[in-house]
Amino acid sequence: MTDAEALEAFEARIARGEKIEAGDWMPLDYRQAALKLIQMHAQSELMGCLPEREWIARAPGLRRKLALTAKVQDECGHAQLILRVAEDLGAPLHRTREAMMEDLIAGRAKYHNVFHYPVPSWADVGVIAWLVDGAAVITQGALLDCSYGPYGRILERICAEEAVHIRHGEDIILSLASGDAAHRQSLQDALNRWWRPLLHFFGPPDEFSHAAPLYRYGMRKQTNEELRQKFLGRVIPQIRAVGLDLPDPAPEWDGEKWVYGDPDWEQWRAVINGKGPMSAERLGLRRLTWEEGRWIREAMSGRLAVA
Amino acid sequence: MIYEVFVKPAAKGAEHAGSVAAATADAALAFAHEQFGRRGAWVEIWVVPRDQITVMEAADVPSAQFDRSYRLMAGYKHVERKWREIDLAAARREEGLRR
Repeated sequence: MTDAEALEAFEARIARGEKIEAGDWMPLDYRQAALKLIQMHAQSELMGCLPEREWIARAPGLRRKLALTAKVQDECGHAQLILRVAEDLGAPLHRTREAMMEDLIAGRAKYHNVFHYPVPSWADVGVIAWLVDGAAVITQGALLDCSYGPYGRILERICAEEAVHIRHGEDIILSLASGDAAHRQSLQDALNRWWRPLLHFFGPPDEFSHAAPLYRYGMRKQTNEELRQKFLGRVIPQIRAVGLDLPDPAPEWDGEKWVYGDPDWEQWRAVINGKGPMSAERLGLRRLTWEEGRWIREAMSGRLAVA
Repeated sequence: MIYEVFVKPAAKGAEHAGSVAAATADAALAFAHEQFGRRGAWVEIWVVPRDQITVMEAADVPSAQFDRSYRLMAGYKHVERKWREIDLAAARREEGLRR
């Protein structure tokens, strides 16, 4: 079979709704684009452990501590699941898990903008679980039916766990919303802090061309803007229902879509390139744990080799 | 030897289907195909010698016995109740009217 025939057969499989599996032939641009997306997701989960982890010891009450610990553990687990998928996809390109981790700690790999920000209050912890996980589940839900089978399958499990995280977040914010004026103010302040990063989360509306292989090969089916609109449509009624004000400039419905002003995409670009308020500190912590954990990884791989 | 049989449908992961008794892996595959692959859209059949499977049982894991409802949707029924109390539906209807 020539490359052209192989590509034609591959595209026909995707058009029929078949899933591509790890050992299957795939064009290089599919492998590269899918790997980039999946690696970014894995590393976002890994970096996403860090902001909330800061609050485990300070979470009010045993049940909240357990719930927050479980959430951080889930996110770390998601990173492991996704890295395993990325490893198989990267193997023919000699992209090992080690290399992906080295890229991350050297600041060469990107992860979601929201994990570059500080978590100054308990209300922020609630808003993160409610709205950051709420945004993530929209992005990940849209990928459930993606053309790469191994990724779609682990996303089912991940999305189910994210749904529990969102409930945990709603639990926190609804408690604060029914508290005294200081509680409600702390919640409003946290919402105001997270609003712009949340608009940024889905990426710029016109960021289409470099992601073209993802759309052509059925990895992605909805655009950044479609996902953001879906998110706004879901959370704006919730924000109003709990009696919070929409942060300035308040999004308005123009009859077709939510108009949310200009969220300054240059700021987003700077943040994801490592110039966010907590980028250096969080990456420093990740680097430290990578170095300090080296002996454990070596011991584990040695034991596995003997067994 | 006993082989456990896993069948992988087109878009899903392999699922345990049953077991076969066979002398070799090839023979196990042939039997597995006869018994579990006669119909339905499968793309792969896997056979694994039963004695090669390492098993963990929930009864032997202490943490599995504790209350871990905070990990489950069922542990957050009170959140659903609260949403009903603050009448999210009314807020949604209001948004609907705005549209």
